[in-house]
Amino acid sequence: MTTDGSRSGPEESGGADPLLSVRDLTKQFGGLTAVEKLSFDVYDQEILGFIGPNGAGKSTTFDCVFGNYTPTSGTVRFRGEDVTGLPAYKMRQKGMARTFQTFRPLDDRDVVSNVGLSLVSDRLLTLRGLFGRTEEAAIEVCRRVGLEDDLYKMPEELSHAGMIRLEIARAIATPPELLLVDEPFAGLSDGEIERLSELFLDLRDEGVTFIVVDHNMRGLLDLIDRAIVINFGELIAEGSPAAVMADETVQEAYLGGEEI
Amino acid sequence: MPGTDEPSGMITQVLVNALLLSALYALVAIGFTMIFGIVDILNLAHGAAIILGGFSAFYAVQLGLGIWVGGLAAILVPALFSLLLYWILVKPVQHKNTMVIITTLIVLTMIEEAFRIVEGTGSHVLPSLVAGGTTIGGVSIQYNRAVLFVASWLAIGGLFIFINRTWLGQAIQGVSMSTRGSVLVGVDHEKVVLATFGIAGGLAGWAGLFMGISQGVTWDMGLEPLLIAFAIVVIGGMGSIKGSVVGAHIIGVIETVTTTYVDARLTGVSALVIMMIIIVAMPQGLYGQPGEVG
Amino acid sequence: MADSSLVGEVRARLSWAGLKRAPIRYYLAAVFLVGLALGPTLGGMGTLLMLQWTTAFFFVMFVLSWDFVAGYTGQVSFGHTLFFTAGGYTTAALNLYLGVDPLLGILAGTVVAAVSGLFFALPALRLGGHYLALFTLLPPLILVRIFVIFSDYTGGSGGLSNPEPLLEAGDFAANAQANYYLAFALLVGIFALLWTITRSDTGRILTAIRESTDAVQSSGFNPAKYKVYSMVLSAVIGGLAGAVFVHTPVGSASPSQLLDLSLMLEILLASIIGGFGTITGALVGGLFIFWGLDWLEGVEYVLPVIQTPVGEIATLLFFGVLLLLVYFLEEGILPWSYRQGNRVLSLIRGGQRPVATDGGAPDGAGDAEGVASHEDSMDQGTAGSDAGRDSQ
Repeated sequence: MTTDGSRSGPEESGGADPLLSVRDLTKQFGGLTAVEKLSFDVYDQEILGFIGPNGAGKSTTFDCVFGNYTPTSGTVRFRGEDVTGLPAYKMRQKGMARTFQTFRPLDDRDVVSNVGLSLVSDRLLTLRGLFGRTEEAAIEVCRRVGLEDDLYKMPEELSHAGMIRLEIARAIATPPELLLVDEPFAGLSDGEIERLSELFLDLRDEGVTFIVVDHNMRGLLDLIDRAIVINFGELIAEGSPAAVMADETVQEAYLGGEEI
Repeated sequence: MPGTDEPSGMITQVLVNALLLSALYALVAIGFTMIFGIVDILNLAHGAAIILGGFSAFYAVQLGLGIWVGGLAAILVPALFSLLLYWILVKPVQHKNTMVIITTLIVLTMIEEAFRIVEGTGSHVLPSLVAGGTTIGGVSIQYNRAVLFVASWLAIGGLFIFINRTWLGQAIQGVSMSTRGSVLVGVDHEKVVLATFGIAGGLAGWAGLFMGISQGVTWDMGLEPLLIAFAIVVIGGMGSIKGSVVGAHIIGVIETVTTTYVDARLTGVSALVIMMIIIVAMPQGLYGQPGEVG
Repeated sequence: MADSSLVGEVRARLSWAGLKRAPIRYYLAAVFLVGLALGPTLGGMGTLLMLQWTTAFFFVMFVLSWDFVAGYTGQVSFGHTLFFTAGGYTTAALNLYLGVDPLLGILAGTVVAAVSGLFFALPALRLGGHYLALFTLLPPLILVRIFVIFSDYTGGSGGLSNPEPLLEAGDFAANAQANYYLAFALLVGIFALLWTITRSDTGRILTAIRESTDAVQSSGFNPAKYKVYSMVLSAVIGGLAGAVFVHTPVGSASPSQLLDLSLMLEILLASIIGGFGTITGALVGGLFIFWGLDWLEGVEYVLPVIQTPVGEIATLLFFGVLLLLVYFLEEGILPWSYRQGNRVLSLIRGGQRPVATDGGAPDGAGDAEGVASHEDSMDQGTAGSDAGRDSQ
């Protein structure tokens, strides 16, 4: 965040081609429709907030977009290419990375090795990694996210904030074009939230596009350029953070006691 | 061999043989599936329970106590063995699948080896419970096998009643479905698991007794029935008692048909081949729970 | 290109300064290796001992083949004997019935083994835990029975008679020596290959698959590719070893040497005792099992109560000992001894020696041995929908 309140934001939306384009995404589990004909775009180097109360279908949406689930119908385009239904590892190879709300580290190895996995070459037979350079690169990434004091800890020994940092480190070790962070601020102190936000802004300046998923908009207000709100699997509002917060449908969705 | 002049009589004989065989298999399979259902492990030492059952009866007879005492020993000794097996060796590692398989495999091998050393490789036939036989409608039935058949079904029926009507039986079902849930309603997990192992051991031991009477006890009598029990449990669904009974009959019929009409040496092969196919095509079996495959 | 600096790295490691930094166990290993290499020629190793070592080498190759796939990727099969049999029986049959040259036969055997590797690998993509264990347990059992039924072609339980040897070197003693070096070279080659794979980047991916295929996917790697690769490679190694084995004086294409369940059990134990999921552990465990059993069988001491010499009940005793070892040394001998060794070293050096999280010595060489202190690999497979199971 710069002192005059302005940010290096994206091109005026509507002009450039979107980086990610989702059309009529639908996901059904048996009789239950979790996501219903959802359409939205994400533009280069913007920070998009994706908000909705718990159970609104946010995680399911992105599980479909990022290849963890196969959508029932709809299309996902990344840089113009149709990537609907591709498995998660192919999505990652194309430059789409994500963190998970339920952390999924590798419990059998320390922090550095966890990050190291994201850096290794995709080769069946290689000499790389025999001499410790993968480890050096991983340490660098850890420093970037603020894990320099936790390098050799096991994931189970990390604090909550540490786990979030680890998730992010693993996702950015090989810089992605699009990064989804799923509920990154949950359980963090204000200071930690600010540090993390600054990291995101730095990464954005380096070319990463962000989607930040959360159920609580207040923490995101200063970070995001644009917001999309969904409920019951459907899009209910889209626009600048201020506009979205003032939207009546949005306020109603949160009447159940959730804070906006 | 095929080619008799009374085809319908032959078929009936085959069916009767199949039924008798199925009952035997069911005894082994039920215990195995109960253990799997309750603690989620493959207890390879179940085969050892069969061997112990057979030899306990044998020793009882050798000591002059008679075959009926032998029958009792054939239930009690393997039941105790199973209990101890769980208590000492399995419980500490029960969450590590590979370890349990290896541990129980070693125990099975050790017991086989011990009997091989002590008793040699020959087989010892046990005296019949009831001598003689009869012929009903062109089909010959030995009284002995009839007794075994009835006794097996008594055991299976008794087990059904036990599972569905007694508190402990319900507890076993409960733990099978949800350990945490059962503990929350006051079920003593330990006791239930021990009871399961004991019952399984007793059933397997009884199967050993029956095998001893019809074929004789030998040091390696445990492996083949164990493998067939695998097949049955996979077909019927891991953890399902009803599935084991149904699966036992399917396998029993296929076994008997194969050995009678195709080649007697193929005993066991058809069961194993079917098991492989089922594991890939329909791993949860007939009555198992889908989604547990991994 | 990055590789030219790899050459530089190798040079640096092999320089005087680099060698001085290498951990003690590398030196021990080197001494051991040199000892084995020189034994027959300079060390005065007798012919019988050479033949025994040759057999031991093949056994270790079998264990390596298993440990590589089971210990690293967590695809635990109980039917690796299928691969050895595929290799050994194919080449023996080709040689005996069609007069195929041993070298070609070995190649054919390896290919057949690779196909059987696919036969396990593809179901392994969907099955896990118990189901994979059962699925892989069966083919060898079925094969044994089929071999016995068709014993006219397969030699039954005695196996096929000996095919042509791969090497002919004159008299019996010279022959034994030639085959010793053949087996030794093959073992060193296989070990070097697997060591490279597991210590390199590929190894990190393989062990990650064991932990969480989700994590592997989100890092951009295709888990299926690596799972199939490791299983097929394991099969190729096992098949190659089995194929060469039958062309040596110590091996033949028979169930007892290639197919029996007891062989599978010995391999399991060797790997576990040596240290599951460490290539070096497979080597140590394999030799331990082989020589331990051999030694025990020769003991003539007569046990008091049961009046039997130890040798006769060797197998029984041995399994009993292994049971205890498996029980008490859960992680295996090698990791356990690393920690003991480190403890001793730190006492000697005054307590300042750091210990890396994996229990091995930190030497900056990316020594990712994947020590089996992790929760069991097979737990990945079972209970996909944890309906009520409290598997935290």
